[in-house]
Amino acid sequence: MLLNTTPFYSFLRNSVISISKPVLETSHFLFFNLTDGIRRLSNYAEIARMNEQLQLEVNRLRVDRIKYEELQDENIRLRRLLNFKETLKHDHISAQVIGRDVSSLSNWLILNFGYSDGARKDMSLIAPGGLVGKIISVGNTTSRAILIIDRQSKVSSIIQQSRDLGIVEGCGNGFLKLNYLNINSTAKVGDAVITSGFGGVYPKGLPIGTISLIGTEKNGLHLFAKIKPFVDFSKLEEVLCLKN
Amino acid sequence: MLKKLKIRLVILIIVTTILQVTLIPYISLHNVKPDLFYGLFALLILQFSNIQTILLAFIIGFLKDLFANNLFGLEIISLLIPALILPFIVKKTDINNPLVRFIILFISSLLAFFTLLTSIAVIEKSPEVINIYFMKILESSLYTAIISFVLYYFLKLFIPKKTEQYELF
Repeated sequence: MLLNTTPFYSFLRNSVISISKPVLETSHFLFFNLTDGIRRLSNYAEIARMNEQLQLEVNRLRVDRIKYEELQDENIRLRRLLNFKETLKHDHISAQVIGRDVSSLSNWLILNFGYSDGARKDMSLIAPGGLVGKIISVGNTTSRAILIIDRQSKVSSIIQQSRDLGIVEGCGNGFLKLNYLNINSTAKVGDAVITSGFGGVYPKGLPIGTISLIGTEKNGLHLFAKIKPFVDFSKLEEVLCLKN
Repeated sequence: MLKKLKIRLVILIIVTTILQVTLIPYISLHNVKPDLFYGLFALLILQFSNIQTILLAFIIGFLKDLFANNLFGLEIISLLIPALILPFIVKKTDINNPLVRFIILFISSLLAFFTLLTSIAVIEKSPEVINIYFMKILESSLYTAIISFVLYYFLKLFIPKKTEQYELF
């Protein structure tokens, strides 16, 4: 994997990013406010604001619905097993996005959240819509995180309705692909995809996206699904880091 | 004079880095964003000689590698290829013609993107990466060329092209 560069280069990258943190934070603050100001001044400012609010509301309700359904399903299964024991609770820390990747071929973030703030490698990141990614490298005051839409990202996931397992991979174009789906799967367009918790990195039940297309792989052994993520990755300003 | 030019170059590279990391995500169109490093490098090819552009390819590539997530060194390679090829084309063309200049900027960005993509495909041993990203690098190159075409006029004022001097007598 390309992520596994030598510790020296990883140290070098983290050091440079940590040193440039104040500059990045300031310029990010300036450009964010500048672009936000221009957007608000445009003719469609009112519509955009309303749309934003409605989108947030839709996201919140969607997440609530998925959580509710997930809890309901979990409840039923656990009741059947008569072994109810666990309720998922994650402590989280808020982090701000202060920079993005410089390459057009990858998708990652720079966070103002480092080892001294409690950041650790492989911490999951979420936003109001759902899963965002995970931390791949930690500096003292900053960290780098890979987004789930990056081509190197892989997330063990499950389709909420049909309970079919698969691996969600980034397509690099803002969409996701669910691979290795059982050929007899009853999944359909519109079904929600959530994390399965099997990979050991992402906790179970985090919303990822909805299925927008289902097809059969060329080898005819598996199905695949194209997934539209819940999170709008181009507008990420703040993320929540889940403590493992 | 040379010292002044070096200071200006350093300032330009630092400003490019800050803009690329912080501003560019806000001006991306449908997940397609320009690459200011490639744009700046293409502009510098128009202004400097062969050896100087190779040196600049190393410096800008190294800086880009620090802020990228690929195997260290790939960004340097992606800039070295246009640095080796394009100065010969620039010499034989009229860069004062806006259309020619735009084409050179586009080719330079495309060459850099394509070299990076090919290197990734070879290292990851997955040729399908080229198919997946080919359209994206075409769009990104076009976007980069448009941005750098506009920035050319500012750069000309900031870093003037070294003109050849002839002895008249």
